[in-house]
Amino acid sequence: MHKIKSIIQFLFILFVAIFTPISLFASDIILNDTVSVSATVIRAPSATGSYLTSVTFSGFAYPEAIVHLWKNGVPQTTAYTFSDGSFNIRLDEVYSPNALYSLYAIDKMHRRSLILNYPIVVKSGYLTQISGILFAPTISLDKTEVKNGDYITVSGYALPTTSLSVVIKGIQDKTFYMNSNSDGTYQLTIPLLDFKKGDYNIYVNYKNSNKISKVILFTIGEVNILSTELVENIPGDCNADSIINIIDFSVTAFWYDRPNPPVCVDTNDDNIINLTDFSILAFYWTG
Amino acid sequence: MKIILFIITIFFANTFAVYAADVSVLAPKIVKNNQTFIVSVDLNTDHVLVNSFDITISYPSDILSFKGYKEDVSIKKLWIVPPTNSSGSIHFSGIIPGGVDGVYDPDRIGLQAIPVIELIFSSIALGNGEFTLIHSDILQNDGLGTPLIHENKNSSIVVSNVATSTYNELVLDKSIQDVEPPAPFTIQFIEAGLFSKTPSMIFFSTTDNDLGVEKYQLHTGNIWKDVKSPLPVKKSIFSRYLSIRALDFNGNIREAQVEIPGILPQMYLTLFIVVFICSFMLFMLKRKR
Repeated sequence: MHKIKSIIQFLFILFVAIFTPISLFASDIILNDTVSVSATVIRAPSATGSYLTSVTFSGFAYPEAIVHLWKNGVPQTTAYTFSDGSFNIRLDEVYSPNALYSLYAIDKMHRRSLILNYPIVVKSGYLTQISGILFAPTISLDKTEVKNGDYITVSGYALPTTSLSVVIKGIQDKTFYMNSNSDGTYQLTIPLLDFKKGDYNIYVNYKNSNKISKVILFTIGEVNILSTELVENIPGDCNADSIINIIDFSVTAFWYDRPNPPVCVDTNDDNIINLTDFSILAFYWTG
Repeated sequence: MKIILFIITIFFANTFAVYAADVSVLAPKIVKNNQTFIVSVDLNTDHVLVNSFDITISYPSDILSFKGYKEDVSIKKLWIVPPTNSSGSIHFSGIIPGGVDGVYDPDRIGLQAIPVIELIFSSIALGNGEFTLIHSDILQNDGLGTPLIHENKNSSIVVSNVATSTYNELVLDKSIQDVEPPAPFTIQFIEAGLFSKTPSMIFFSTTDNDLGVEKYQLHTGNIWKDVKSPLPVKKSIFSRYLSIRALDFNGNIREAQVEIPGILPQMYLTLFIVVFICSFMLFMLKRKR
């Protein structure tokens, strides 16, 4: 009897294991995101009786930030966010089977978010709504190199009074938790006493969100080197203009598969320019 | 006993694991001979943001001929390597700045697969074969270039006298008559920094909605030479113009020019000519006297 029970148990576990694709485990993490994006259509008659074609984008960035909307790499319009960080942008459109809309936000301190892309099939005579957009917090550091045992201050803009995770990754990983202020600002001074010397990455994200801020590189070494004018230390930005665009892409493309690339092009320090370097460049793209 | 059961379970679970993300090649199952059709390459990321891809597809070159590629309905991207046909395989690589996780189509529920490219083929002989993804790298938009674990979905094709195919929408009524040249484009000059290891260069890129851009050529001397973007250029003493032309797969041409600034400004050339003419005239005058 006991044997039969064991066999049934085994078969049940086997059945569940085989028919539960790995995607379910993966999507568990993604589903923690509290905000989702949806595209819906509403028939929108105009004053003349014909139907308008337009696209609206709504969601959250940072209080009193500017949200920029681009279509196929060309600037279209901008909108200011409200004090709660919300925004709503409407764009009159024509039919397009593959319009690529890109949005980015600039906070009150002129820090720029990462780009969010929305490829949309725009239907003629319909209003397409993209709602629930959420920009990850902006980020800057007070130092590019920190003296061993000293402090580093991370600051930026986020949604007001929202839980944030500040993640440090490198030789040692550590996560710090904090809340943003009512005006959307946040600042955290982190003692680095327990950290070993070396290179580290730091980023910020909302609790329960998989969208991360820009990833900033800093070094724990012998001296303190202050960040001037909110230097962002962007990988691949060889001309140091804090912009990642076609110029940086061209420089990376020139060194693709060539020996001895310059340090600034080799974003992951493996002494070769390959798809990984292009991927890192595409992550920081500003246009 | 329980441990053994657990190990066996894990083993079977991994053996039968189905990755949620995939790269798929979609082709008509059966086509007639001398028929033109589309082979679509789509990327389903399972809601993960991705920003770069490097894909090689082999095709049965004994029964099919590669004609070009369409970009008008595929995702906007920057080519690192535009589609290149080489002995029965097509390689292409590019980035989608900012990353995407799917396409929002109001007519369909949920995120749709990303249309990476549409390849155009023509059948040249009867037979059968397979479109096989022999290499596919997809990287996540996470600032680290983490590979996306995915599976490849290939597609088979039969060239037959009797063509009743699924995916009929991929079979074109007639061969594409590409008479339009590639889209107008500009050439960007990128000047090297003073101590830069990277030389000065020009960057150019355009699209062609019918059969795609096959190659670019530089006008040098009296001939057109095949070149790739970005192209290193040397600055000469005075500024000069360079001509680049884009050719689509049907040989239609679009040309563009760029001025490469010289080491000395144009003003110096004018000044030099003026001084030269004045000196010459003075010399002639003195000689007359």
